[in-house]
Amino acid sequence: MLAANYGNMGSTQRSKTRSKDVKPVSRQAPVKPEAAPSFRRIGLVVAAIAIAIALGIRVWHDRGGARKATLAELEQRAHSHPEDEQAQLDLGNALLNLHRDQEAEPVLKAAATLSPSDPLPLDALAVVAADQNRPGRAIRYLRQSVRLNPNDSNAWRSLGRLLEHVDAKLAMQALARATELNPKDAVAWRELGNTERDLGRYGVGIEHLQRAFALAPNDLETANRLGDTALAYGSFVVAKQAYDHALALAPNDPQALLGSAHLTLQTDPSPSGIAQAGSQIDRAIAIQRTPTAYAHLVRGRYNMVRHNYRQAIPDLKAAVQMDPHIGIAHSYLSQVYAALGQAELARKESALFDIDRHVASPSESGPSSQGAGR
Amino acid sequence: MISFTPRRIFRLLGLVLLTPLIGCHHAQTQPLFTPSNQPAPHWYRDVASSAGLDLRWGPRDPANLTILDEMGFGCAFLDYDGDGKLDILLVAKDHLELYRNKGDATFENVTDKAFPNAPRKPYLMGCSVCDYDADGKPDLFVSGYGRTILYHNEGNGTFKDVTAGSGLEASGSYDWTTSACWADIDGDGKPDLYVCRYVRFTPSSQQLCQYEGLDGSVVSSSCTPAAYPSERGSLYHNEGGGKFRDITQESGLADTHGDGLGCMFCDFNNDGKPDLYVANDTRPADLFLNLGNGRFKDIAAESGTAYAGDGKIMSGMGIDWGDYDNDGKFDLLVSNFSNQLKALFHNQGHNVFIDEAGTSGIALPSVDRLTFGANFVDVDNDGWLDIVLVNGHVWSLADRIQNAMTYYQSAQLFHNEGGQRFTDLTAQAGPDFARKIVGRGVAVGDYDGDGREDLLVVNAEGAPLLLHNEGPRNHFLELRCLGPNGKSDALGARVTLKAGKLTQVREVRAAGTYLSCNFPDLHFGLGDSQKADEISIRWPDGKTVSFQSVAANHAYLVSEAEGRLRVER
Repeated sequence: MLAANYGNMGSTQRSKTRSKDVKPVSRQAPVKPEAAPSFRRIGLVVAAIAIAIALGIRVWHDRGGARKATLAELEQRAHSHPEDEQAQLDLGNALLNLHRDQEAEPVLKAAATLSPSDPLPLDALAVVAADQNRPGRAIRYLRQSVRLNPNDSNAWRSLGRLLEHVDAKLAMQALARATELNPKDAVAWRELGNTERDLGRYGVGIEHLQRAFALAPNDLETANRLGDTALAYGSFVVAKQAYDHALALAPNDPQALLGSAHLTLQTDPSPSGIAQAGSQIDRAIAIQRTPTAYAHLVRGRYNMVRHNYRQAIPDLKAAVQMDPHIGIAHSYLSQVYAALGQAELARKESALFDIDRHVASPSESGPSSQGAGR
Repeated sequence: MISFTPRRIFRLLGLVLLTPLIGCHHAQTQPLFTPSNQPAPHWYRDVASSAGLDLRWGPRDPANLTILDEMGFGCAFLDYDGDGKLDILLVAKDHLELYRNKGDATFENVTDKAFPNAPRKPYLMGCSVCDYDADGKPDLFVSGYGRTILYHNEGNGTFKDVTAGSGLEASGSYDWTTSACWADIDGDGKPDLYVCRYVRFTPSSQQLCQYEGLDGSVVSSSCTPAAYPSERGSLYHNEGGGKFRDITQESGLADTHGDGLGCMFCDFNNDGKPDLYVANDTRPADLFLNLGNGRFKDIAAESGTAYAGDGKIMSGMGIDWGDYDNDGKFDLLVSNFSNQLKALFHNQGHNVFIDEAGTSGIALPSVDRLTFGANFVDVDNDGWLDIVLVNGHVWSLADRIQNAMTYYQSAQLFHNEGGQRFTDLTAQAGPDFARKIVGRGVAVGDYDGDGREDLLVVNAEGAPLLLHNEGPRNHFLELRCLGPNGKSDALGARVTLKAGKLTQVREVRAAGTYLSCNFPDLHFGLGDSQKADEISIRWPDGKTVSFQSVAANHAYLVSEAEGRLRVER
């Protein structure tokens, strides 16, 4: 059950990872991980960006994006043949590719009206909506699209990724469909694993992430997510393998360093283990420059394990201030205050932890929960 | 007519005459045997079958096990007939099975004699043994679902159901009680009873939950407790005359977190008053500090025992108190679900505990096990308490739901390497010990009087295990402490034993780990010391007595009234 608290923490980590993923082509303002108020919103935005990219590229290629027609030619053709759905679609995609979404949208809508049974204008409109940070609208378009072409694994995957932050169960269904249609879709497996985890089904989530890992062993994000999920679940062997792999891919990846350190603090609190964890935390924070909430949490934990309780307090407090959903920090703080004999504060943090696990993680109490607890 | 005083007259008759009385002087006795450090290849051997334990709990249909079915049963070592030999009590679903120790390594099933005309009616689960009326004969409290029983030991080899009117009746058909433990909470000389309650599970509740199997199929198995409303335990004050009064509210115990599965009293802060720890399943644990006058305060959060050291809420089940590092303070062991770290709370003093499961070496090897029974036991009599974990998953189809997870799991033995580290010696314990079972309750006692602690284990899908300890024959000393009346166990008596460089502390309890009850005699491993340099006893009323130079390898009896040691064997 408690693993759900890590689940929240994982969402934070994931958001950061996604923002990094889309950074080279993002047209959105960079997502600040520290902007704690709405990780769900941030996740949606990031997912939308990723989907916009994925779908945009696909739509363009589906319609012969490599064709050498100029925009002017396409515009002329579309104006000359207003009843030609293909002409409208080609123009819409071209505008979309040029990031002229506002102009693309009416053209694509016209294409959709001209050929209501064609899913491709809907896919393109979903890209526009995602680009415009309108995930709800993007979801509607994609739903229409998969109704028209239920065998389009890409559309299902995109739909699933958007739904992840809206309705995890629906997301899971969409992503599961994507993996059925294309069992080699590593991203779909990864996202399916994340969604299972968010629903508290850690064991199944790990299974899916392992499949994604096998399909895309060089994907750092998959390795990190597998590590995070396995750590939260108590599958320490799997977590260690995943983090070790992530660090082999990117020795200075802060997420992998912090995850590995957190794992070590739980499983090998020997002097050498603690020293190794401390070194990894220092490296991660040096790279991050501004420590993330998770970095504060792990450094706080590090000081707890060393029985440096007073030193742990600022970090743990910073963690909950930056990300109120890191409920486990309250539990840590409770233990820290207990160790320091500060009974009142220990009780207070314990109560906050209690509240957090009830408010923040309703899914954990579901009867089919398969979290690390029961 | 069976005589109960002295309770343990003989096990090896010749030794009774060896040194009949030992006062506060040097004890001059001959050792029972010459210790040897040449143990059998394996430290534990299952002798249940040859001993005559013929109960079977399973196998059962794995497809339809509800949360009620998955919880299993308890067991106990007791000396119900006062012949000095440990008998065995096993809780079956609809009845109890009592086995009388014949003294020749076999047991006689005396169920029908002991419980004449007892109805076979589900659902029984746990047992706790205590002489609640101080008549010198151990009585029984049996917990269960929709059923609790208070059995009075009549002294003629039978037990009488005295539940009706006692105040300990189940509150309804779905009243689900689990572990129970006894202590004299207010020093009035009468043992009081705490009983855990689990969840509200009824025929109209969801019976099974659906899980996505590893192969994508839907697997039906028992639901987690989160699917049901929590229930909270009760504290019953012994009013005398076989009557108990529910004082949960007035004592301050009403606000437990609920979903209780394990409990044990222990005076962890050494103030002379028994405190209470309650392990809750998927809820924060409760540690109740005894404030005196029958009042308690929950200090779990501020003591650091509400959660495991990794900050997570425990699926607490079995617990045990024991001073594993011999620093004079009782530490706490709490079992937990698979993929969750078991907790070993080190008592720092000043009501503060720190979970040292990670640093001690027990966390990682046990993380993949679902542990119910958890005990401190000095299996090799080296003077350091080892750890026994009895494991078994709750999902009969666990292997279809979780990768690398199994319903049947082996128990684990962690050997104490001087109070700081434990090493996994399960392999050394032997194939019988490590056999994969669906482990639930476990009780500790030296049933054959050879000076080594044996284990009685519930296997919810098969036969019980009676694990005879055939490990290293280090020196030992056993002690039975009787209260002022010279007949009943002196619950709460605290005994400190010094032998060589080691100082060990034990406490007389009527409790055990998950659903079970240990034999109340105190067991000390002495390593290579041939005597205890000093044994100090603090009686529940605060009086003290001490003995010097007490020979090893004997079982002694001491009563507060007599103030002297008596060799039992």
